[in-house]
Amino acid sequence: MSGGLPPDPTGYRDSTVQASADTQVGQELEPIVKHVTLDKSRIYQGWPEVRNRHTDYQAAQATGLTEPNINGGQTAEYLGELFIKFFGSGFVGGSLLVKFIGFVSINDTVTVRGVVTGTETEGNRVKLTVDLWAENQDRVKVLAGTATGYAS
Amino acid sequence: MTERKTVEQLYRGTHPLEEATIGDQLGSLDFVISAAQIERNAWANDDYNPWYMDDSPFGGRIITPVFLASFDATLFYAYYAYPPGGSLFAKQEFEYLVPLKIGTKYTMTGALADIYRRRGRTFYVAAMSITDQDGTEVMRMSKTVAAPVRPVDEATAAPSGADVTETRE
Repeated sequence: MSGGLPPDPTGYRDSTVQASADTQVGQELEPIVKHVTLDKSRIYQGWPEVRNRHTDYQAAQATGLTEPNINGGQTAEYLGELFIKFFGSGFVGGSLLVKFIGFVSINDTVTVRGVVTGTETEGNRVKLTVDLWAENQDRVKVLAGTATGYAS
Repeated sequence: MTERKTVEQLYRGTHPLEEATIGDQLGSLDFVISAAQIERNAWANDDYNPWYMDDSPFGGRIITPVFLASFDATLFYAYYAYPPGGSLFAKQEFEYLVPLKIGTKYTMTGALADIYRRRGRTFYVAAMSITDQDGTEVMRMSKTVAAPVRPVDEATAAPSGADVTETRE
């Protein structure tokens, strides 16, 4: 807090853990926490022009769900955020694989985590492999993935 | 009052998904990502990375690494008819060759690369390539779509006439 005023809670902040040539296998990435709401889902989808099972109860229930769930593309953004924050410009030449293994529902709190699982030298560059995953407030994994990229 | 449609109703595909065959050419999609789209995405996800909002080391604002996840769905369902039981994203892969920038025209092309069945759903794997206006490939993607949303009995899950690989992972 500066001068008694609160900081912008949505303000961007670099990760405290970033890929480097010295990064070791087992290094944990700084987690990211997201609270998912129906409003956030509607913003992502382009509601009210777009209405679907991610924005409207009726549409969700027509597909057998009890309430709207969060689109996989939106939850993949959470892994993408951790990916970019860790690799920085070293994401170029890298890859990201995301598996959607569980539903993310409105009002879930999702925590995205990662750990370095491999390093290798390619010429004068260091390539890192990272396992990424996201879990909900019940510690149930909803996303799992693997990423590669280069130390900046 | 303007009639509002579900996103499924907006899809234009006409080829029945249950008749999909490996090698189906899904066509192409030209697109330009606008600043407004990226800003809306940042708002939706509380990710105001300055590379998306202001400038990047790559010379201009770039898009998020997974932003195109919905674009390949658009291409997929511009070819296939959206199934009555809905569908899910099961898996998404990206290979980053060159950062994609706001305001630049790109073309996405795709083809169906695999079909397999597991746990009451059929999985369709589409491989996509994104090129810039010079024809340089800037990204590769793969999307696995599973249908239906609610799994059905394994005995009735296989689509007739489809090329189905039984196991995966």
